[in-house]
Amino acid sequence: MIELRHLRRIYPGRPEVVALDSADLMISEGEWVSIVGPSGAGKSTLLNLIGLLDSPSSGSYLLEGVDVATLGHNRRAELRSEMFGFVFQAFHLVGSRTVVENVELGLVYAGVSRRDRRARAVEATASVGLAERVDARTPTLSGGEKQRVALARALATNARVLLCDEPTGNLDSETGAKVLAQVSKAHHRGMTVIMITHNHEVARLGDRIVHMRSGRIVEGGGS
Amino acid sequence: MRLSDLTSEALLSLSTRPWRTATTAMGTVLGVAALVGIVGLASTAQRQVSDEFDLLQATEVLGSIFGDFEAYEAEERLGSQPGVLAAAVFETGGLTTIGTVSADSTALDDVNVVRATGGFHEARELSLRWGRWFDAGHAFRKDRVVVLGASVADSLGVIGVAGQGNMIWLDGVAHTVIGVVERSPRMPLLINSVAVPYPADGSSVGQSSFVVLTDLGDAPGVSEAIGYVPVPGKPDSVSVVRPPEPGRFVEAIRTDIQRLVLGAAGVALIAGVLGIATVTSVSVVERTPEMGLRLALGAKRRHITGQVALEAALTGMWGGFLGSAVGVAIVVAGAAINDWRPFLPPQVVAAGPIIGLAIGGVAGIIPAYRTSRIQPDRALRTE
Repeated sequence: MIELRHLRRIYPGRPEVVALDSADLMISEGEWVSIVGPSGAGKSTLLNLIGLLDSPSSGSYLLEGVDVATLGHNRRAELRSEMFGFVFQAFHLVGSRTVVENVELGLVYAGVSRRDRRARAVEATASVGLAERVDARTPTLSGGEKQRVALARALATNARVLLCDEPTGNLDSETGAKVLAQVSKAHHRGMTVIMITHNHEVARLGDRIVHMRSGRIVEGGGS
Repeated sequence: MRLSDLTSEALLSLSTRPWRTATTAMGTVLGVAALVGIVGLASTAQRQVSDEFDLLQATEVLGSIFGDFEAYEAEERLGSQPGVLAAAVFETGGLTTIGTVSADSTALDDVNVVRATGGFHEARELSLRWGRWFDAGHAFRKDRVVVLGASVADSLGVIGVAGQGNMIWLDGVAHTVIGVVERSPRMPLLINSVAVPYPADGSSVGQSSFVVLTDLGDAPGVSEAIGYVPVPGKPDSVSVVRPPEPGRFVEAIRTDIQRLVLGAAGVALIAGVLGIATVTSVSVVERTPEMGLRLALGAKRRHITGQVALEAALTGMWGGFLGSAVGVAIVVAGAAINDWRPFLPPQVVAAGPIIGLAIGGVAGIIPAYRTSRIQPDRALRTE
């Protein structure tokens, strides 16, 4: 499903920063891959490249056999909408909106009709245990609730790949466990999960652990 | 993404940040209010000037008479012409010294003297503070009577009322003040003058003139026909001044006002564009993570461009609505203060929101374009 070949990401500057260096990685559909490594190892850069939030400096990225370098901005945006759901450590919710409006946001860009997206957003919100809070403003939520809203937003679009960047990094262990339970549920329904984590227990929930150091994949890159 | 979704996203963003929206719109509110206010006040003033000027010019014929003539006969003949409402013969010129006849006598030097026949009051549409204008009887009896202009009366302290025997010295001879002219719109000079009866014996001292008050619009026709009337058989001794075309004068005023309005419109537009562009730029920088999130969730560049530009345009339109309302209030208040009838072309009021929309749209284009070019991962990292 996802195949990276000698992928590099260099940030220009003085000196230039090699954030990802010759990464080779293959991920099959339905797999849960955990990515671990120290800070600055290139984990987030890798995740951003996989999620089409960034473009590589060199190397190739084949998504279902298609080289994404050949795709224009619009097609990349469509793929982000159709293929990927994102859960960030910093939640990234729109603070002035309600829970259900945040969950709806991805569906707006997926072209779902207003009536359908409300229904799907409510359903996704309920699936992460926040049915009672659909109309709450996000600043009033706890950290765990915010992360579950972010997860609901990712699930609502029926994305095929869930990209999680330290989803439990800002949560206590109990709340983190609830979020991971939801991720696990999505994975059991066939969703591909790629999760960055510093927590080795969390990493072990995955089918495979990819180790990174200094911008390189040092272990676990093969399928 | 549908246009309705884009619009509702823009409206939702604006409504959830009311303070930001109000601040952003402030430049447009002020600009459009200034524009509508200035256009309205200019239109009101223009109409006021135009009305008054047209009325005065369209109903008055002036002329000069040379040589010997019978002033009171001339007045009568002029007054009997078709379309003529009143007529008078008069002279201006000559300065005199006048003073009050009292223990604490007050004197005024260099006061204008106007000699006029009895029809002058009507022909010049004078308003009297009190008393009356003289008539032919005063002239033929050689009564020593005067009518003072309000300014002269105030300076001399003549505050009496009719029949109370106010006396003044005029050229060393006592005269009775029989009235005071309060307003003289057709001859403002009269307010600073002393008027005496035109001498019935023809002993005029200066250039004699006549004035004819006509029905509205009759002045041009009367001016054509009146040359032979004051002095029968001597048309060469009469010169008629044709009324100026009011259109030329009003057009000149209109041109000046249009320049003023165009200047105001330019300032308003620049202020609005700069205001919205500045605040929108700051706003989208603050909202960079949100825009990054939208891109991550599948927004295309045109969706981001459209949303930011639409938000700016809608903000401008809202500012235009408010600006129009404030502008109307300015016009109404300005007219009320000056005791004018307010006049504001409806299309100017309607243009306010449209101008605001355009200002917002133009101002939002650059921030919108720049925002849509952000790399999503960098936008998400922005704090």
